[in-house]
Amino acid sequence: MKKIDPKVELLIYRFLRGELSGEEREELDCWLQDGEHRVWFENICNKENILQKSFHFDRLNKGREESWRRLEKSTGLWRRRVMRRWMVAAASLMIPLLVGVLYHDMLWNNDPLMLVKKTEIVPGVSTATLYLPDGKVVDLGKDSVCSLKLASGGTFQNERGTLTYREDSTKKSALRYSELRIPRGGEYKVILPDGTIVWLNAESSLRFPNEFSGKTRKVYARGELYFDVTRNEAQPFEVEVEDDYTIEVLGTEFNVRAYQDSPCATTLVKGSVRVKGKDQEVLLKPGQQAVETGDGKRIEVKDVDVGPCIAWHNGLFYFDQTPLEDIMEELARWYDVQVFFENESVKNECFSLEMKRFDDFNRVLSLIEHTGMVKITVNEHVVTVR
Amino acid sequence: MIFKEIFDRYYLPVKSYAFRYVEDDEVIEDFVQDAFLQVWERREHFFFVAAIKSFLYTSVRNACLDHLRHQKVRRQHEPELVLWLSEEGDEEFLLEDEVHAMVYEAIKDLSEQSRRVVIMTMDGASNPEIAEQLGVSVNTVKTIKLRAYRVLRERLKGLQWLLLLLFGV
Repeated sequence: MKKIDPKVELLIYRFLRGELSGEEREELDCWLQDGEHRVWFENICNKENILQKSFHFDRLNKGREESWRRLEKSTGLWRRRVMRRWMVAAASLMIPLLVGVLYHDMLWNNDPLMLVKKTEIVPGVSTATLYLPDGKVVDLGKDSVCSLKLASGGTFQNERGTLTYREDSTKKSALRYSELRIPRGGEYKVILPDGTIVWLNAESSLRFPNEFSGKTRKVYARGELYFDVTRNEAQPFEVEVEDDYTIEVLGTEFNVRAYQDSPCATTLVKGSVRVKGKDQEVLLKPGQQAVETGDGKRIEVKDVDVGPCIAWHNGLFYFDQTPLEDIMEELARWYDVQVFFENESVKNECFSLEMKRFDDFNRVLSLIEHTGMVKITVNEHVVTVR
Repeated sequence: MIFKEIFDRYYLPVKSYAFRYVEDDEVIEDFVQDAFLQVWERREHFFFVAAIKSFLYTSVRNACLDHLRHQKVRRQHEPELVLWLSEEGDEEFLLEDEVHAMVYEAIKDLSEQSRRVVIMTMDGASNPEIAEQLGVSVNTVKTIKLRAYRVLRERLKGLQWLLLLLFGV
C-alpha cells in the first residue's frame, strides 16, 4: 500500500475550510499537478459526496465510543484517566490542548524529536490574509509590497502594513466581495475606494465589495475594528456585524468590538452613527457606546470613557479596573498565547494597566504579578494563572 | 493522549475501509479495535503518523481478507472475489475518507438539511445560491444557519472557523 502523506488530507481539509495560507496553497497546487490527484481532489470536494459520506459515517460512528472504552481498558489508559481525575480541572484541560499542539507539530514536521520546541512570545505584527473574489488567497505582511489587479476590475496595493483598494470605475461588473482576515497576533490597515480607513485588530475580519455601487456602502465586520469613514451623505456607510446588529454611518470615527462570545459594542469617537438591532434603533453621540445586552436581544446606550475602548488603535493596552479574565483574553489575542486559570476566583480580580502594545510580554506579566495577587507561569505558548 | 487523537482521526476512515471488504458492523468493529490495540502495543516503533496510518489499514485489510477466505471455504464460490480484492485505487478512497471524516467531525450533530447548508457554505456558496439550489427561501437558509450555529456553538467550542463561516456570510 502506498503511503499518503497525512499532510495532504490536512491541506484539502483546510482548503474546504477556506483557511489555506499562501504557502499551503502552493503545496496543494503542487500536489494537484498530477492529473490523477486532481480527479481525486474534485471527488473529495464534491458536496454530494461529502453529504452522502456523512450519512454512511453516522452508521459507522455508532461503535466508536464503545470501541474507545474497550481500548482504554486494554491499554491501561483507563487507569491513568481515573488517576487524572484527581488533578485540578485546569490542569486536565491543559493536557489535551497541549497535546493537540504537539500532535500538530508532529504531523507537520514528521519528526517526533521536534516535539519540544523553544518558542519566543512576541507582540503582534502587521499580518493579514486577503481572500479575493476569484478564490485566490494572498498573505500580506509588513515587509511585503505588492500590487494585484483583479480580473473584475480594481487594484489592491499593499505596502508597509496598509492595504489600499482602488475600484475600476470604467468597468462595471457584478458585486463581488473580498475579505481581509487578521490572525491572532496580527493587525492591519485597509483603505477602501471611498477613502474610508479601517484598522483591524487581531482575530478580526472585514468583507468589502469590489465597488460601492448600491444605495449604501456596505461592509461586513467581525472582531475589533476602528473605522474612519469618509463623509458622503448621498451614500451612507453601513457596517453589518451580525444579523441583528448593523451600524449606519454618515461620516465619522468609531470603534466596533464584536468578538465571539462577547456582546457587540460600538463606541463613537466623533460624528454620529445609528445602530440597528432586531427591532430597535439607537442614535449615538460621541463618547457613547451601543452595547448588546447579555441575551443579545436589545441594545443599550452607555456613556463611556472612549480612551480605553480605542486604546488598541493608538498602540496601547489600557485597562481600567478590568477583570483579569478580560485582560488575559485581550493579551492572549495579541501575543497569540493560550491562557488557563488554575484558580477560578482570580478571574474576577480587577486590575488597572496601561502599557504599549509592543512591550515585551514577560514585562506585562510581571507588572500583573507584582500586585502579589496572582502567580503566572509561562510554558511555550501556554500561560497559566493561579 | 496522542493515541486518542490518532484514534479520533482514523477510527472512521479505517472502519470505512474495512466496511468495503466486509459489510458487517460487528465483525469489523473487532478488526478496527484490534488494529488500534496493535498500534498501541508497538508504539515505540512508530515515528511517523503516515506509518501508523499505513499499519492500521494493512492490519484491518488482512483481518478482513482472512475473514473472507474463511467464508469462501465455507461457501465455495465467488471466484471473482480475488480480483475485487486487489489494492488498486485504494489511495484515492483512503484520502477521500480521511478528509470526509474530518468534515464529519464538524457536522455530525446536525440534521440532513443543516449539513447540506453547512457543506455548501464551506464550498463558498452564498445564501441566495444555497436557497436556489435547495429550493427554499433565503430566510430559511438564514434560519438553518442560525440554528446550526447554535448547536455548534454549544457543542463544538473548538470549531470557531465553522461558526465564522456560518455567521460571517
